[in-house]
Amino acid sequence: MKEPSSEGLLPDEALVDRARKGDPGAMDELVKRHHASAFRVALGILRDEDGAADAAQDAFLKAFRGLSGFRGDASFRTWLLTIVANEARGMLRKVGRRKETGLEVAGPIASGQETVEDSLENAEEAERVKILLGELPEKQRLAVTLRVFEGLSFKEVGALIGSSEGAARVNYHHGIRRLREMVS
Amino acid sequence: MSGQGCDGIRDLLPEWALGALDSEAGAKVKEHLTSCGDCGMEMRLLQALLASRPEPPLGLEDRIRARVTEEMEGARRVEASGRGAGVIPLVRRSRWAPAWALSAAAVVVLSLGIGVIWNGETVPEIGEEAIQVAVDEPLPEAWLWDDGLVAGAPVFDGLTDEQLEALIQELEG
Repeated sequence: MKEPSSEGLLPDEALVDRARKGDPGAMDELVKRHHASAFRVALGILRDEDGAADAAQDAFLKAFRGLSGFRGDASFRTWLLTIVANEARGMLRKVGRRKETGLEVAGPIASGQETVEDSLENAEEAERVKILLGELPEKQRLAVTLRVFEGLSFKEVGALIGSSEGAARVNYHHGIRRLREMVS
Repeated sequence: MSGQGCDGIRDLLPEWALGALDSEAGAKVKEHLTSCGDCGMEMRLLQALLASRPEPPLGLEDRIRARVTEEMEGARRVEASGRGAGVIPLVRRSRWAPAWALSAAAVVVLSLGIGVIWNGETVPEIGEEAIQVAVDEPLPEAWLWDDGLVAGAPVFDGLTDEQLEALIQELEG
């Protein structure tokens, strides 16, 4: 079993500095910290586990190759996830099965007064929510998953889905409302 | 019923669900949730979503690490072979030769081609076997970095600046 390394205590910024100098331990730690998020972001776009794993891997390679171009305007995580999203969209374009539905064609939004079933907490309900999540338009689905699964800010979500911070907020709340509507 | 401040609280619910709020903001959310059923229901939805959060397949982390290591070793081999002295692994210098070198090489190649046609020489026929060999021959390592934007550019990739200058001089001379 691998022993805990000093890299585990460092913030991403310090790891990025080390990785720029070719430190393999720093790269390993960055992979450890962010591979799950990378996978989920890719999965949110591709909806295919194998493809998402490939996209996550390719995105890490591109990110490490391009570290010299990383200026630190955003966090490494946001930057990486943006690369993941681009990679996943590129894969979608290649296979030609993109079916994006924008907010403008989304269905009517409920009043927000719906009730959520009491039994949502169990695994069966979680599975149901997962299926319903997949029925949301892409931008809403991504806004919800990036906020709820990854805890990204609306600004970060906007950067990833190619919209403004305000539009990311609207997509998130519309997505949540639609989910509440569907589970009630 | 939705009380005043629900919008602000709902913006914070994902961080609250992930345990990422500081204690002060967390206390505000907690207090609000005890008195607002609507936000409470939204919170339960977020918890159900979190319970459905997909995890990466087993071995993905190791797979990515292995691939990164592979690339680093490849970069080191290039460096050790003297083709990329000073290259930091995975942080490559431009893989393309300078624009002037490519332009000069293109002019030379074009001139040679025109010269062949001008002299009335026929271009030697390339047999099927030779084509097959060329196709089967592995591309230079540098091709792995190629985005396919400039066909043929990797041919120059392995050359140092000095070698490239020598080549240009040789072609021009």
